[in-house]
Amino acid sequence: MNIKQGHIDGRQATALLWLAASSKALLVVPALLVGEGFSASWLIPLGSATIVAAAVLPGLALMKRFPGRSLAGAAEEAVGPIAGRAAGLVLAAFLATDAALVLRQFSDTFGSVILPRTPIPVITLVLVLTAVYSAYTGLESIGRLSMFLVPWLLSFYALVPTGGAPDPSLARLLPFWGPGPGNLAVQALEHTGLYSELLTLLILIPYLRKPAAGRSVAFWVIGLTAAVMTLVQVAVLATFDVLGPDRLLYPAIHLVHLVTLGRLDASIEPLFILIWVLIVTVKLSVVLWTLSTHLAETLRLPQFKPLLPIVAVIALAGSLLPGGLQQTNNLYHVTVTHVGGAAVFVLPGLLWLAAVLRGRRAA
Amino acid sequence: MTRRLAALLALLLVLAPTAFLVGGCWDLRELDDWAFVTMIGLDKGAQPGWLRLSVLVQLPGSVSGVGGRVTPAFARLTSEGPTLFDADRRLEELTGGFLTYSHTQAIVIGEELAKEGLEALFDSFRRSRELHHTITLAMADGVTAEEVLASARGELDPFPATYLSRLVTKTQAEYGESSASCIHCVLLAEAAHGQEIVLALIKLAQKPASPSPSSGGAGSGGGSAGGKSGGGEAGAGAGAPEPAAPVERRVEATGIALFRGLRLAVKITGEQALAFNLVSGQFDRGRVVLNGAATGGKDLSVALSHYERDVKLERNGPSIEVKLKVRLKGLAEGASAAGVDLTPEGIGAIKALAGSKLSEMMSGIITLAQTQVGGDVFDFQLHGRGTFRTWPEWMAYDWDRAFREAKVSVEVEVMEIRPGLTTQTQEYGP
Repeated sequence: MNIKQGHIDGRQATALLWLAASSKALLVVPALLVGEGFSASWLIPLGSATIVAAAVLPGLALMKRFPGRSLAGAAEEAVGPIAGRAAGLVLAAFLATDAALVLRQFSDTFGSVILPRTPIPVITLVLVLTAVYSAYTGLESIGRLSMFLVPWLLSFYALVPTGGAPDPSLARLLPFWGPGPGNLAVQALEHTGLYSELLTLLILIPYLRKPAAGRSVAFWVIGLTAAVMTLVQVAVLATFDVLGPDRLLYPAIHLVHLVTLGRLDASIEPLFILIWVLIVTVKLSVVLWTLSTHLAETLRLPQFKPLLPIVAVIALAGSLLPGGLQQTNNLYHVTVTHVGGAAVFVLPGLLWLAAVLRGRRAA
Repeated sequence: MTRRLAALLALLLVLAPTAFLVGGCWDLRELDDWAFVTMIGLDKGAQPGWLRLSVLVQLPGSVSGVGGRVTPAFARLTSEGPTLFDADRRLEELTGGFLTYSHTQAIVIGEELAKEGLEALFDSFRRSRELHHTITLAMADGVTAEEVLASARGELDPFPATYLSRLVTKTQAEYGESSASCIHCVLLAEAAHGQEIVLALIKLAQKPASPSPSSGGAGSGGGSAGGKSGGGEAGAGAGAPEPAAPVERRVEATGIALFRGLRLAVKITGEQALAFNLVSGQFDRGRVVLNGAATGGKDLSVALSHYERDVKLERNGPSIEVKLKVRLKGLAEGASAAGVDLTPEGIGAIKALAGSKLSEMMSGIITLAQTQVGGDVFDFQLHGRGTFRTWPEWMAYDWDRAFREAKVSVEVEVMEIRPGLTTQTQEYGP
């Protein structure tokens, strides 16, 4: 069998990253996309996916150039220890921001929609503790949990557009070009951060049983995430139109409020809540695992586990910084979906370029 | 072993707060503490800008069974406030329980409030955590919503809210004379560029009172008390005229309210409502009465079904032209009994008569929408926006004016008229 302890295979990595990436579709992202792409907002994930499919290649080439090395190690090899560590810390800061803002978004929304009488810090704390425990158990258990969740998640995503939301119409996807073809292309470029989980892939490539599978995992994750985001965006637009999601902070939640299972007249909301909690927990545990592993590698620490409580506290503290939910969403929009692209794709690309120009490769 | 024990302890540490805090034990409220609102009535308040909120609350403790029939009891409560949330809070002050709206099935808006405008309601509709957006929304015709709440009860359904909701849906689907509107549909119409709100119309009609399941008459709670219109109580002495059959006010869902800019513009009923559904694409089944040379001057009821609609919209600068084509099939009921000519030529003449009548009805409702309503109540905007390349161009377009000045042509094709099962055509005759 040749099973490596602490390693996962390509399918588990795909499931794990897809789950984490598609969690964005269940948070504020659909509303943010509608606000910028209007009736053509469903084209943005597709356009970004095309760009990302090319943009991820330099990062993968960097990891291939330094086989067996972590991303932090590859960065140090490429540009030297000081610049390499600085690059590693920038990527860690991005992951910490992502964790903090997802934590705040989820806690605030869950608190206001599902458990209005439960203090939000209680929800935040429970979520952080669960995610820390999940990350503590390691990549293998998160990978196995993700594989278990995939069929449920696929069924759920199939239910959302095919369920009986009242009065849906694909005509609401018109005018086709939304803000105009030029603006749409710019937005597709700006929103490459939608696929920011590819940074996690670069970090976990050394933990794949076959590191060469990294490229196929990347393309599967991009394809599946683009499919889910497009599907959810089409469903949101067809149901709420363009002006609606602007006023709905989390369209996916409102969507499942409307979808009923045929004549059973049963809303799929309870199913959604379960899946929502699980997906966000997986997303957070993936980010916490990635962040602590990457930090341990950057700081050359032998173990990532002692860092877990520290990064959890950082995420928790960071989640309390925004003044409110609207500010959280704006920050998320600016840092993760916009600047995220630069952190995830441009920085590894520059590191690869530096390695090529300096003729650095693994000994 | 120690590692496993540590992991187990860590897991327990996570699960314990989850079980106690997220599981609902945090400031727990027992089921008995809740008061479930099943129907809401919204009227204009006594003070300017205020809302009058009436709710029908089911009393779970007082559900009784008489002869196997469940007759739940309801309490009707009313309060006023500057907003819906405020009126709700004032209502809670009057009750020992906590009102919850998560089981609400129907909301009725009084006509006076509808004339004044629905702006005050949208914020609550959008922000309320409990109001499900699939709740049926209807407007009371000529009466207050509170009166509708008092009179809504059904024969086959002991729950007034379920009855009202089903009544609207059924009248829309089977007779084409209502509009199945919900909170989501209204929010969508309010937000969409160039689209107007359409609501089902609920009216109170004087109808013969149904016999009570028992002499005691557990009744339908608060509703029945105010709903009776009297009659029949006078003593029936010898020689006295036979007492009039008792009547009561019962709800009917036969009509549609058309709004313009969140204010009630026009109420339509009967054939106008049917024509509205044919134009707007919400038609499923319905019936029309024909009378002309083809029916021998007699009334012929035709049940319409198999409806298809095709809208072609062309835009030339500021003006639009809509070509509307409707295809359907009909079932002529009681045609042979009425002595209507059912030969192929006769059927052809009936088809032409039906087509011309429906076309006339549809043109009439389009003209009414263009002149009296002044806004797109048919959702033609969904076809119009496809003629634009970008969203800013579409938003800059004056759709209201274009709709009012639009040239709309209507073509109705009655594909088939079948005689009802009780008739015999010449083909099968002796």
